[in-house]
Order: sequence, then structure tokens, then C-alpha cells
Amino acid sequence: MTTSPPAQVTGLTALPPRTVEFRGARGGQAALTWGQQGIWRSTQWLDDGDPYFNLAWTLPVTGAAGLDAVLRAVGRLVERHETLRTAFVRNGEGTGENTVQRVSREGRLTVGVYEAAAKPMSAAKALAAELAATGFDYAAELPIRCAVVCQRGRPRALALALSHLALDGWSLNMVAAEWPRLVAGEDLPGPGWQPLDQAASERSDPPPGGQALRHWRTGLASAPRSMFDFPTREPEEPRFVRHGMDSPAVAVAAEALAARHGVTTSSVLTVASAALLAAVTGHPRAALQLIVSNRHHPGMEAMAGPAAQDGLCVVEMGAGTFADALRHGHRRTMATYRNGHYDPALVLAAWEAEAWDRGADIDLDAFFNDVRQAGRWQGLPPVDPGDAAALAALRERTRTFFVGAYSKVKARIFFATGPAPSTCEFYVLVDTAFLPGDVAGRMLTGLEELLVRAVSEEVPLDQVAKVAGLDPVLRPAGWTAIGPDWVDVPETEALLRRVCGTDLAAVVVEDAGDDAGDAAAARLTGYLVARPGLDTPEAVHAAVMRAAAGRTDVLAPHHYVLCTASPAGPAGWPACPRLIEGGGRAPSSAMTVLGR
Amino acid sequence: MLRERVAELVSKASGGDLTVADILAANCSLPALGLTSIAYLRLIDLLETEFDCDVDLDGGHLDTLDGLVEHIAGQRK
Repeated sequence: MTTSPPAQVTGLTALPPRTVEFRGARGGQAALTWGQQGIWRSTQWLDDGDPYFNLAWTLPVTGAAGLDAVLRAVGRLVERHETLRTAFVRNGEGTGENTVQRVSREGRLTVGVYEAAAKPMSAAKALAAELAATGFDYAAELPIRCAVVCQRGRPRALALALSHLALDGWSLNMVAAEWPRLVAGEDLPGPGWQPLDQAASERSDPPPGGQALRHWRTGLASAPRSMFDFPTREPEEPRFVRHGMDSPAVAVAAEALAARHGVTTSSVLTVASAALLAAVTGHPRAALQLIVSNRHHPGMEAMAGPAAQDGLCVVEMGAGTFADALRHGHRRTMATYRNGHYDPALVLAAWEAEAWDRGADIDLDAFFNDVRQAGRWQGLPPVDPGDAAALAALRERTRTFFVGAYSKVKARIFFATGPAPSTCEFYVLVDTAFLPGDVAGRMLTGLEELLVRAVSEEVPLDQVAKVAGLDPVLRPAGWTAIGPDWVDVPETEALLRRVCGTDLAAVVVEDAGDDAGDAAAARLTGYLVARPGLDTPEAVHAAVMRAAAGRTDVLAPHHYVLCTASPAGPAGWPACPRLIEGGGRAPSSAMTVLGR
Repeated sequence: MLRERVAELVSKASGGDLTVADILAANCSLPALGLTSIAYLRLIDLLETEFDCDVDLDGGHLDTLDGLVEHIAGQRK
């Protein structure tokens, strides 16, 4: 495998590129690790050649190292970390499920060499961005492109473009720590754990991840089927909008709340994000997917390669105060971070099973990612959070800004910190097919207001939207809360009628107490006239689920009643002669056959 | 003895950032002492391995040294 020479960049003079030959301790092939599968699926969701998952990065070269020493260090880096000489190859016919990681033991890397007239680090940054602007050919190309930027002939920086399939944020920090030592010619001990080892470990018997799978099942069963179960709107162009905020006041307030309630600042930001989302979308329970680094597991801490997976975090927001939600939410976030290492295929199966049972796609496209190193800030302004005037003065330094707009993102909302160590850098992305783009900016200022207010007073959860200055979404008449889900009942009825190909169907909200005698819960019952092909609850449920795919407004009836004929009026359905009825979820469900 | 051993594991989980003496002397929660999320997760794994127990994150009071000690002692009965 080789890489192409980088493109020309303004302000740099290209010198002849050099070739670095490398030969690592081993090569090999294995199934993708669970962490690799996560990024791989995301890359496959984008168009071929999309550079969205490329990382542009620069490393300084300090001291008197010459070009040969820097090139040697690049070679050592690629030799040390198998992930930097790994291709992702389709193994035979089929799609992503058959993709494997293939580590080349040896090869060549073409390294560009440039002379900068001034500001070599800035020039290297521009060069890195240029290198990262083209998507990687994951099957045929090394996942690393690099170039050395010199000034007066002496190397000053290494410009890098890396595939996210090769490295994540944690791995970048590892490489950054090794880099000066490699340039100095130190002989570092080899890493003890690589993605090939990880892949083998994930296929051990019994495999890890059993507890994480149970965590997912529980979370899936309790999460709203979507936080976005409300009317859609005409999306803006481009559809996805991201805003950012730099607020030292948020950091100081979050530190104060964390100390007061015995939680982490990561939990404070997660729960605050969940509270804002729940308040805007009208849910007493919020579900977020947290990006879990998975670096607390033995071995994975020292592995260069993607290890992060999504974890499901469901936080109760119904009653009480924001402080109550912090204490409960902290335990939920810790449980999520603890259960983030799992076989994605098993979780996907559990996800689909829950969708089938619930009667709707389970949309969990609400995310939170804390990218701060070690999950904390350092060197915050020395402001006493108990001094309201000082905290108010600190808020004068808050800056919000528009980051960008994108046509395709696999998220309806995405909360994220930035890596800045001495201020809270925070971002919100929204899908404008559901929320106006300016809500992203208003959530940022709302987050600040919520946290600062919570330092000095109790904030009831039912006041979060008001405190944060956010407008809850409005659901027209006909929308009904069914368990944790909001449902557009008239649309659900219209869907059932389309499935039946006739108006001879109705959906009714009924009370359904369970056998344990608990309080009655609302459920949807679908009435229809049986016809060939739609003559069992199972057949009807399958047809409804197909028709409802991807929608967040309708919910398949919990119970289907197939009648012999339609009633004289809409209210007459429950009294109609019944042919067969049941949940339609499984052949073994409590289906009863009448009149057959 | 159990308290001292748990404090040692807290220190180990923190990568040495927190000393055993500081942990034993602290009258605040472990996060307030500076134990990060990732270190806390490492700690839970260490405790479960060493004491062959299940640490239930919803169990409450697990954010302090004494809460953890009590939880583990309860599981060992």
C-alpha cells in the first residue's frame, strides 16, 4: 500500500517527497473489533470518498532533529501501531458484515516534504486540512497521510491526515505523547494490545459484553421510541445546523454543582443536556446515546485504534428538581459508560426486537459526547461560584457562534463538549426537520442559564424550559401520550387504513390494566375487517410495521381486532363480531381465536 | 483493613493522581476529590475483581470511600 503525494498548498514550497519503508512485528487479518464496526458503519452511511471522518492533525518537531530522524520516527510510529497499517477489506461477497481488518506487516509510505517561509505550524495545519480533504480508500490506502514542514531546511512540524477508522481521540493523545520520544530516537517498548488482539478477545468464549447487552435491553424497553415524536417542519437548507459556545461560567457552575452533589462535571453536562431536550420535546424521560470511550477496560487503555461505542442512557426527568435529576442521572451515566462495550450485532437484534414489540422504530438519534481529556477541565478562572455577582461578571465572557450547516448527519440532536481545558466549549447540532436551527444556539445559552441558576437555587424540572428560555414543541389535538411515547392517533388510523386499502379500519385509545392489577395504562387497539393476506394479527402487524418504518409520529396498535364486517358507525367497532384478535407480535402471544 | 485496601484501589484507579493518605483523610465524595469518570469505572472493575462482588451503580452512596466499603462489606456477608 502507498499513499499519493499531497496536493500543493499556498505558502509552501514542495521539495521532493520521501519514501518511508516500514516493517512491523506482524501482519494478519481478523474480524472488525466492535469499536471498528461502529466507525465503519458510520463511514458506510456516507457517500464513498466523503472525508467527514478524516482527522486533520499536526505534531510539532522540537529540538535539532533532521529530516531523516523525523522520517525514521514516522516509520517507527507506523511499525508500532498496527492500526496505522490496517486496510478494511470486503471479504468475499456481501456488505459490511463481511468486512475484515487486514494488517500489512510491511510497506511504504510516501511522505511529502515542504519548506515554509514563515509560521511552519500554521502552514502544517493548512497542509493537514488539505491532506484530510479527500476521503480514504479504506481497502487500498494506508489510513495515514503525512508531510514534513521545514523551515530553513530543519523539520518543524508533521502534518497528518488520519482515518477515524484508524485512530480516535484517545489514540491521538497516545501518539502525541510518543511522538517527541520517537523523534529523539528513543526505543519505546511495543504496545501490548492492538486491534487484532482486541478482535480475538471479543470472540472469546464466553464473549465479553453480556452485562452491557442486558443494560441495552433494559434501556431500550424504557426509552421513548423517539425524543422527536412531534410534528415535523419544513427543513432549512442545509438541514443540520451546529452552534457553539465558549463559556467559562458554565465550567465554573458545573464544577460547583458536581462538588455539591458528588457527581462529575461530565454527568452535570449530560443531565443538563437531557433536561433541555426533555423540556423542549415534552418528555418526562430522556434517552441519549453517549459516546463511550471504553478506555477503562484492561488492554484497551493502551490500544491505538477506535474503541468508542455508543451507550444508551435513559434519565428520568418527571418530578423533583434539577439537583434530583443530577444525582439520579449521574448513576445512569456511570452505568452507561460501564456498559458501552458490546457486540453491535446483538444490540441491533435487541433493538429490532424492541421495535417490533413496541410497534415503532426505536429512534435514538440524540447524542452526547464529552471529548475533554480525562473528562475534566483544568485552570478554570478562580471565581467563587457562590458569589452571584462574580459569576454574572464571568458570563460577560461567554461567546456563542455559528459553526456550520450540513446536508447529512446521522443525528437529530448532538450535544458535545470541545477539548478546551480552561473553559466550557460546548456544541449543539439540531436537525431542522424537527427543530428550528436557532434552537441550537438557544439551547447553548439555556444550558448556561440552567447551570448558573442551579448553583444559587433549586430549579424544578417542570421549570427547565422557562428558565432556559426555550419553547416546548406544540402537538396538535389528536396527539396522545401512550406510555413513554407521544402518538398522532389520527395519523396512526390513517396508516392502518392505507395498510388495509380501505377506510374500514379504526384505531381507538383504550385502557388496558395488566394482570397484576396495576393502574390501567393506555393502549391502542386497531379494528379492521379481515381480508386475504391480512387475516391474522401477525400479518397486520407486519404490514403496519413496514408502512410505519422511519416515522416518529405513528405507533402500531398494541392489539388488533379483525372483524367479519364493519359496523354501521365508527363507535360500533368494539361490538363487531370478531374473527380473531391479538397483539400480532409473536405466534405465542395471547392471541385468541373466535368463531373459527 | 478493608477501608485501607479500597483506598489503595481508588489510588490505583486514579493512576496515582490521588494518594491513599488523601483518600483516607477526605471527607468529600470521590468525584469531588478529583476521581474522574473513567477512573471511577476502572475502580468498579478493580473492586469487582478483587472482592468478587457486583457493584450496583444504582445502589446509592457509591460516590464515597465509606459508601463503597459498606457496599462491599454488605456483599461479603
